[in-house]
Amino acid sequence: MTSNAIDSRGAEHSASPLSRPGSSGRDASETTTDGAGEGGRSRGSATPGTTPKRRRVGTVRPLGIGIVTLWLSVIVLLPLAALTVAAFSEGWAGFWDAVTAPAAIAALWVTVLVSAIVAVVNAVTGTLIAWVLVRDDFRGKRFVNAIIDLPFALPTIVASIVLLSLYGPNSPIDVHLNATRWGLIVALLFVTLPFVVRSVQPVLIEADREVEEAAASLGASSWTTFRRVVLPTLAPAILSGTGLAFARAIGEYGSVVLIGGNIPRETQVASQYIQQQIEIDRPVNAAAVSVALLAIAFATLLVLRVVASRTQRREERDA
Amino acid sequence: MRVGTGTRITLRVVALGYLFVLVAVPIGVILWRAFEPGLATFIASISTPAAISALNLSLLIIAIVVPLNVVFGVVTALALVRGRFRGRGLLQAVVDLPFAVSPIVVGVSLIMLWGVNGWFGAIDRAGFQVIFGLPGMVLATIFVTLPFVVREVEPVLHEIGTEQEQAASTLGADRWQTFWRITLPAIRWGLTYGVVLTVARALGEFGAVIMVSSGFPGVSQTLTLLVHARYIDDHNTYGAYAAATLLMGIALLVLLLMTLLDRKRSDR
Repeated sequence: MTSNAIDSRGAEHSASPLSRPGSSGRDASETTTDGAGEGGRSRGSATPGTTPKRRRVGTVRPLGIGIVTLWLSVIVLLPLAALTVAAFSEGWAGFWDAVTAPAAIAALWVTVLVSAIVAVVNAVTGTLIAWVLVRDDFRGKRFVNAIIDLPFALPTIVASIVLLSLYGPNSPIDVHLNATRWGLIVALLFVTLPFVVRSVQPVLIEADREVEEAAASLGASSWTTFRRVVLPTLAPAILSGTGLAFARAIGEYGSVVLIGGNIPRETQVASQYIQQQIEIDRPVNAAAVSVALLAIAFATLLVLRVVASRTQRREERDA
Repeated sequence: MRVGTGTRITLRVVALGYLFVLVAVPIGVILWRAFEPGLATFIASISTPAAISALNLSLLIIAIVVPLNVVFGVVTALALVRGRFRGRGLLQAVVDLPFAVSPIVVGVSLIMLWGVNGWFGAIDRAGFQVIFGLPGMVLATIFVTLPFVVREVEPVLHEIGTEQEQAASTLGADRWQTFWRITLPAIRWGLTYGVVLTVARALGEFGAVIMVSSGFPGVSQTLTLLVHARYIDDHNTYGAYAAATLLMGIALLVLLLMTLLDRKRSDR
């Protein structure tokens, strides 16, 4: 195995920009273990003369915190607040009417359906690819490993064009996915490819192979070993990757805008519906469906976080 | 887990076949389509006035967004790692928020805040156009790239601790000297990695930017908008392939840089 090509650190980093839910919790716990103790101690044990100097380093002045709060508010929080207020500007009933309008429901349904299919396919193929990259050995493995990150690096509109050049109207292999749900699925599979692979890979590298060998020596077939020993170890990572892929897929726009065809009730996804509502000057509808889409994404990430923290607790208990 | 040779080969073929059909073949086809009419045609297509001004606009947005993200990202990372204040957990969550928000929703949110009828609509009515202007595109790009620098610098700050900074300060260095001489050199690779991610995403952002741009060729069209407009509005399929290939080339360069930086960072 070429360990440096797919060392767990590298894999984790390449996935980090988009894999969020678990990490901030982890950051928080790290902070309490090193930072707090240090800051507190230096203040407590320092002699009166050196206290002011030392305190300057370990802490952040209120000005810094004020700047950060203001920055995050103006860039992130205020726009989302304005969105939410706009969604409810005609009251709860107005919000409900906008979200349950037939075209809106249809778009949300197509989005969730297609994203769920994509997430499930990813769970299988992602695990398979991770397994091949970690446990198998062949020429060009490093190259294949590098290709996995390509969909993250490629602009989404380029992904759209790339897929159209093969599966579009002038398809050289005569496969026409343009303006079909299959087109949506292929586009979303392309952009979500790295999630499961990159979350399973490091776990598989760390996995204890002695347990597997023990199972095999006790007479378990390789399928039984996989099902009873390997899969339970990988399950949290697979679930987290699948969930992130789903969350990404429901909000995706650039990769589906050209290949999807934007046919209402057929291939129009929620993000396209929202964009259309803005274009025909129905901002309240756009805001309401946006809030619904956000709610689905947050619910997904919340479930992931709860599952992750439960797994972590179980591991700590076992350890 | 011991797998028979037959199974192993089957799994390998299935995995590589999947990647081949999903990634390798489409990219091969687009490269072939972009370069088949000859290099001169390709260059002509990506150097039309509209294409050049799109590249310039994309670079201008990056030139504005990167310094802002660097300054505020480092301050945010410092506050989150070193600060002990109420609401810190909340700020942590807010930093992650942009990853969970669809680009289209980012665009709609910005319209609701900065648009003519938005909360800050007075700014627009006073003659300073935010939405459908450069400021809107910059705000959209900052929204989607905000987490990168923070999240890449944060772990490094955790790792280095505060001992060296305390030593510097004990030896008489002031805040700025400590920052420039101790903190900044220590976080430089994490920061660079964050900047590379920011550049890649800023260059490739489409959904959020198309919502807040007027999309006029030569005026408010970024490279990604150019690809879209050529395909949809102009039915210039070749032009779209060529522009997409250019963007892909830049993306590959960024990917290469990321791999190199990652190696450098792990070596340290």
